[in-house]
Amino acid sequence: MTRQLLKTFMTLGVFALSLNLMACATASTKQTGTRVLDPDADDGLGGTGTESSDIRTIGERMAREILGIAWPDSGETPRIAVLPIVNQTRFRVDPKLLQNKLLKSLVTHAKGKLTFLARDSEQAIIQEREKKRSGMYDQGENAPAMFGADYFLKGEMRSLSKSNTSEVSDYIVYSFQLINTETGAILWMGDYETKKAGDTGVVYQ
Amino acid sequence: MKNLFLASFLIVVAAGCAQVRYAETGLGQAIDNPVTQTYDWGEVHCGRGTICAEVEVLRVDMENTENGKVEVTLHNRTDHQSGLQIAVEIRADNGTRLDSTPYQNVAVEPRGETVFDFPGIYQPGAKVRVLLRALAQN
Repeated sequence: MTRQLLKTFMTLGVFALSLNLMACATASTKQTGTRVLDPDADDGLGGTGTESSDIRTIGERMAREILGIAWPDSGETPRIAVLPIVNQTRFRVDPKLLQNKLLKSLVTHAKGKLTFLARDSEQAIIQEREKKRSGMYDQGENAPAMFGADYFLKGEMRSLSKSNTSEVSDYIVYSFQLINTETGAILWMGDYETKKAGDTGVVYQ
Repeated sequence: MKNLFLASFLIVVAAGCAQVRYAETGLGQAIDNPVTQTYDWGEVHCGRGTICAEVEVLRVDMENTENGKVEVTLHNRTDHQSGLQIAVEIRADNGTRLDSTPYQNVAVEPRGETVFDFPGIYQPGAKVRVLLRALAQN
């Protein structure tokens, strides 16, 4: 009787251990199929072009550098219009992605020390103003003039690419300038560089 | 008696899984343990100790002003090119996180040094926490 019970107990023990391992295998944080990644993390797909970590880094670094500038003391909050970023690299990257990230970091860190102008939305703003002035919408009487820019923030992406039959190398420079809109003088210039080498055949979409 | 065995069996199944996982992850941590090195200016944290073993933080310099620059000097102790990600957190004395950067890619030549800077982040009197992790997360 005791031997029978012991045998049953051991069988159940082995079964429990197997079940544990199976259960541990299913209830886990390990990702299978679609992976959810930290936006700074490497996706493992390779490629020598712009990565999400580059976009995030550039937005953050440039914003912090711009906010650290010794601004000319005019007594008024400087107004900056961000011009569309130009992509001259061989990679199909939406420059607006970088522009939005940069602007977001600038607005977050500026805390009212700088004013940023939504030139992308200028047409919509003009239409709204016209409707206010025509009496279609209220608040048309005392609407102030639209802000003019004291500085343009201009950005470019340019690259130097090399390849042989199996490998490719890309050096990309993202450069930014703050230009005085009255004098044309460059108040600040900053850049960010990447150089990556890897297999050919990775497609950026 | 049989009911007692059955009850024990169910308890083992219900409670054992987490313990097995704790043992597994504990073993993983023991093999490649996280490392935190403490200095006067703050600390260096590597989620995997092998990263800290390969690339060391030689020094950290701070501009002791509001929104000052933090410069981190890295040294590659290996004979291969090291690629890693670095981030910086600014923390108050009580440990509260005041500011942080995203992880940024950095390459260090074999046996070489590189200075990586973080503009506009430091706050006077604060501690710096340097976070290092592998470029590719396995």
